[in-house]
Amino acid sequence: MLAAAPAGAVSFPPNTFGAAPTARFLNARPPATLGPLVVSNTTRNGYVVRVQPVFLDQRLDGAFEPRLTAAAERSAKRVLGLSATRFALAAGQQQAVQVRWLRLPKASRSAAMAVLVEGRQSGRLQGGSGVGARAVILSLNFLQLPGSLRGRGGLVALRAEQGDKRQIVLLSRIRNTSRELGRARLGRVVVRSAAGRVVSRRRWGGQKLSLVLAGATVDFPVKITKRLPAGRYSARTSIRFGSQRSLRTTTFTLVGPNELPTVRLRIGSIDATGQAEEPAHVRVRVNNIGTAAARVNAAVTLVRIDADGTERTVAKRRLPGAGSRPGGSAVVEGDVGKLAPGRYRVDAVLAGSGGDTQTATTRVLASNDFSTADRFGRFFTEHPTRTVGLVALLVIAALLVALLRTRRSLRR
Amino acid sequence: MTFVRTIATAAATAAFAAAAIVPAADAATGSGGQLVTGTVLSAITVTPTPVVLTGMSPGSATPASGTGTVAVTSTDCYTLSVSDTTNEGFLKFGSTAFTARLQWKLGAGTFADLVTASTTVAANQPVTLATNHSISYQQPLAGQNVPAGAYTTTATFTGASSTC
Repeated sequence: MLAAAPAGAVSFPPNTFGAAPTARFLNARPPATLGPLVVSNTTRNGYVVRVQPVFLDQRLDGAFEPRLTAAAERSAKRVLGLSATRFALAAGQQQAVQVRWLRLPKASRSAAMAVLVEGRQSGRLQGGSGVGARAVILSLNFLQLPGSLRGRGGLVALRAEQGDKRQIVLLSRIRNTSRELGRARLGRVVVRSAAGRVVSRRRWGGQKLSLVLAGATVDFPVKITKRLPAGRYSARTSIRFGSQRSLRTTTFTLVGPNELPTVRLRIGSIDATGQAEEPAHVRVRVNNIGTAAARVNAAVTLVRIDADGTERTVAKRRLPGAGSRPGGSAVVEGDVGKLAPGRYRVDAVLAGSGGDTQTATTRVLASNDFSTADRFGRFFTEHPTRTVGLVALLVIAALLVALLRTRRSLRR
Repeated sequence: MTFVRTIATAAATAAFAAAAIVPAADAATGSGGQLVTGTVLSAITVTPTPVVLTGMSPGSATPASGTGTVAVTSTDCYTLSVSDTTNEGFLKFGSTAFTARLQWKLGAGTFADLVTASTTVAANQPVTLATNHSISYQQPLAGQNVPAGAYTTTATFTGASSTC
């Protein structure tokens, strides 16, 4: 049953579409009532609202996202029951949706669920072409039987990454190898200089949402705000996950204050050549102006430009990569497509192993206006068997002529 | 009896008004002072605005563009994501569609294709009373030869609590 939220129960900021609560942790035995989910519209427009229970998945950055396969959606409805799934919210209106925990998935002691609230403004986009907007809010529900969280697993990696504002970010990667929800607790990160002196010490984990879902892998970031001079460092991270404690270490080098080596690419030159009935040969020189070595890969697109200016992609290809040192350059080259007489554009996207990407474009005019020598050359290249046969015939003919002349001279 | 532990955030502010403001007279002292307690409910709002693209001239070397905002208020740390589950990132008009995907970027970031899969816009953001995330869109037009019409797609912005 759908119920209007009690007056004054939850007040939301003006001009917003939202929901409350954001997250709930239920330690109980189903069936159980979770209390209402309040959906609010304080904008001046009406909203069409769709509400559904979903299982949660988790991305590497820790963000929760709904599992939207048909089978998962069916299963989610067996775990969480909602009093309403669709309704309209006029400007300034709130609605309360009753949420009930019906059961746990088979053979599970916990479930990571959410109520997905989707709000779409009534009416169409005004003013022609554009991008409509839809809001989705996940009201998280972590359900478990009485007892502590039983997730198992631990740290699998530690690495340093360049953050914003000259910060170093240490990413501690945890993998939950169990079928249950787990929480990262009592995390510690210690950074030491090459001389072994502790230069930074930080705590991490232990928040209510420091969770790793069953089977998920999550990177937990720890920002090192202290200004560290150039040099070599070692870092150690440790965590308690479930009943286990694990640790990982890594080393990293700073090329400046809080500055990790980075890959920065600049296009040196791009050339494309080719003739009709041949592939376009593309050659790109890339300069590495960063402070780290990089492998450069290229994705090349061949676009035909018709007489009326219409463009259409005729071929795409990834070219073999090449390595480059800091301050050096790499040449990436290869063939793409097959040209017909006419104008072409070649687009190249160069990607360095550090994530830096550059694009370059050039044009090529394919012609079939060949010289006689070119035509012979092309024939010999494209038809080697016929060429060998032809040469053999010429040799035999020459031998016959020579034999006849010899016989004539002997008769005389 | 079911024990329900609702996680409330003390860091949240009065903008999300109290679910239960309980005034109680301090009868023991007779001083007339009042003990006022309030429980702040956790709440999140995500309010994106539709964006009209300007410069929609098929074949043009300059992309069509437009900028909008996604306003977020949250009593928890949050992560904001974007996806297009209706048109896979392609602007459509009836059965006609662009062959190049619509692109988006946050603030001064770099443009990326709008795709079906959910992509992080802003991860592990702090508790906020009002944050306007500026989202710019561009539609590449070079080589795009489509008939006249109002081409649209829908960007879905998803907000959920996260660590920070």
